[in-house]
Amino acid sequence: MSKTEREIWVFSEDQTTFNELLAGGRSLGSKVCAVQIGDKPSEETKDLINMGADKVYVIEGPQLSEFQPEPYSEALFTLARRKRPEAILLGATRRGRELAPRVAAAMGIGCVADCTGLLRDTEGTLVMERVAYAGKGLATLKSTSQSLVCTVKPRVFEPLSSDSTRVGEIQREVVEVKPSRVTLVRREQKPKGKVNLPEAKIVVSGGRGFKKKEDLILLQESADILGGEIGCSRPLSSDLGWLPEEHHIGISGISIKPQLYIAAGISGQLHHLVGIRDSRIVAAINTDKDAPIMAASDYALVGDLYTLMPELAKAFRELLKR
Amino acid sequence: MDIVVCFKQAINESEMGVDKQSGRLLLEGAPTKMSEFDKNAIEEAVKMKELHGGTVTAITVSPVEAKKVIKEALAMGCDRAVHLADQSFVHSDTLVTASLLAAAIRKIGSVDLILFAEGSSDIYSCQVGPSVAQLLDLPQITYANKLTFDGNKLVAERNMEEGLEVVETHLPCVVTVTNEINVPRFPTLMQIMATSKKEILEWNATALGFKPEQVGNQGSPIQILKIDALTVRRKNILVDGGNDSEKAMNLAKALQKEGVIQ
Ligand SMILES: Cc1cc2nc3c(=O)[nH]c(=O)nc-3n(C[C@H](O)[C@H](O)[C@H](O)COP(=O)(O)OP(=O)(O)OC[C@H]3O[C@@H](n4cnc5c(N)ncnc54)[C@H](O)[C@@H]3O)c2cc1C
Ligand SMILES: Nc1ncnc2c1ncn2[C@@H]1O[C@H](COP(=O)(O)O)[C@@H](O)[C@H]1O
Repeated sequence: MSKTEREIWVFSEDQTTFNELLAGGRSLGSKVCAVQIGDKPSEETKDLINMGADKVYVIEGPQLSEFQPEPYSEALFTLARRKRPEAILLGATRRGRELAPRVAAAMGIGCVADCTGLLRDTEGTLVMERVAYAGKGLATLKSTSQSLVCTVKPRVFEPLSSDSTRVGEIQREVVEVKPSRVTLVRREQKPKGKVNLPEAKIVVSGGRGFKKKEDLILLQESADILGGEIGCSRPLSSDLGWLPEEHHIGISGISIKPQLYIAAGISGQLHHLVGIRDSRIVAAINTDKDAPIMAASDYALVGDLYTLMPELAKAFRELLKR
Repeated sequence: MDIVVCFKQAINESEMGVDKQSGRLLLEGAPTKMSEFDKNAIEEAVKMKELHGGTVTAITVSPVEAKKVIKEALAMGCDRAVHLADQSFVHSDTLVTASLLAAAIRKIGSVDLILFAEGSSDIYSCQVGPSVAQLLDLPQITYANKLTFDGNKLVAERNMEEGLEVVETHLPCVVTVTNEINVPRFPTLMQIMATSKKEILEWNATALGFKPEQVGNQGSPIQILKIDALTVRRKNILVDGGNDSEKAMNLAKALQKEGVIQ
């Protein structure tokens, strides 16, 4: 069997990511199979075909009503042991990252997390790229095992446009899974904001140089004038909870690619910088002229953000006549 | 509660060099440090022990010398350490690393709680914890921001992209913790001195039941083809001006000239 005749499987708990991965599978020239897991799979099956799946494996069961890593991984690896796909692509979300290693470990196969590139070499072997050493390096990897699991970073692949004339096979699979030993007590879903940082042209971002939550208005002011979004370093979202996680930029958050990134009161550690490396222009405001962000920026402004940010907003208004 | 905490001697990425000729990162001889968030995992293990009794065993897989980080873990309050050390472990991927840790945990015997960090500071694959959970057929809770044990159930708050999630399970269980779960203690001089009395075991491939070809580069399904240094060129222009107002205007003008604000 030639390499491209083997199936590439795709699954994500997040629909956008799922669609991106379907496109990714197709770009590798393989037969792309979506795995649909749930307690009552629905119309979505056809949607998956419209978005690029050649086949949909439907795994249904009462244990699969909500995402839990144990039953979901068991569903995936039990079926994968039967069918031996060439690769299983999952999203590099927090849920994807807890699912992938369980599937790989159960099958004794390779697993690559947070792929930023996925292609075939001249022999048709899958080659993966991911950042290593907090963005200091780009590792190129391959797997020697029969199958492979990858988690793929968001937006590595562009989803296809939905095509309702596409045809695909739907295959129901009976897979027995054990119930999850971890149970959900409650979920405090934050209302999903309108922010779309990954696509924003301008991001004005803050770090621990801010003394209190209310002061973030200084970011918002400039962002509003420029038509941008606000972002932050990890401590502001994960530790202090001043902004939702979707604003958290860096290796454990999101990656952005704006025309302009303004970092105020952010020291610029590698784990943060890796998330802004695709920014066209970086401007930094920091009291410390030796902060790493200064050497990692195009324009460095040494000074107190509490006086500079209002002045900057004023300058933007004046210059842009807002 | 008998606890195992797994910690990594990570490469200190900010001090890594680049081979000028090939443009590749220099891995040999790169300086190392304890993976940052692993200190949170150790802190959580020690706190659990202080609350519920029992022991904490710290385990690390490292083919090279790791005395400094092992002492650090012991000084923070772990009772003993196990160094999984063998030349043949070089270039083990996450599956092999997890297999070695799982074998060591089996060898230790009865363990109630196995702690990891969410991800290591140098690789941040977030894989080793869940892999060990699968290999030992244990439940897992990842990205835990808060952990409580009431003598029966383990309850965790998890920091997910879409918000907070509270889950519970029974022991034994694998948990990976975030940086936000606690503030790691700084060991006192007394605690550092006391480490010399603590046990440090060293287990090699044979002791763990592995043949050389099952570990390291040979035994790892994931092979590294190359690691190129990633560099970003920036202009590094220091924006001047007499006062803040001038400085700000100069920056705004420069950004307008760049065509990035309209
Ligand atoms: C595995 C791992 C993953 C991580 N993932 C991420 C990630 O995804 N994203 C992320 O951001 N971090 C991440 N981190 C944390 C990262 O290493 C840094 O600790 C963090 O980015 C620091 O945030 P900060 O710059 O806001 O705070 P600090 O480092 O405390 O910097 C604050 C800065 O503000 C400046 N400042 C203070 N007052 C003022 C003022 N009045 N005006 C102007 N400047 C002022 C200071 O000079 C300083 O440079 C990760 C770490 C690890 C180990
Ligand atoms: N070599 C190792 N020895 C012991 N524990 C490790 C090792 N590598 C990773 N870990 C543990 O697994 C976590 C996640 O690592 P990673 O999968 O590399 O992101 C780390 O924070 C450690 O707790």
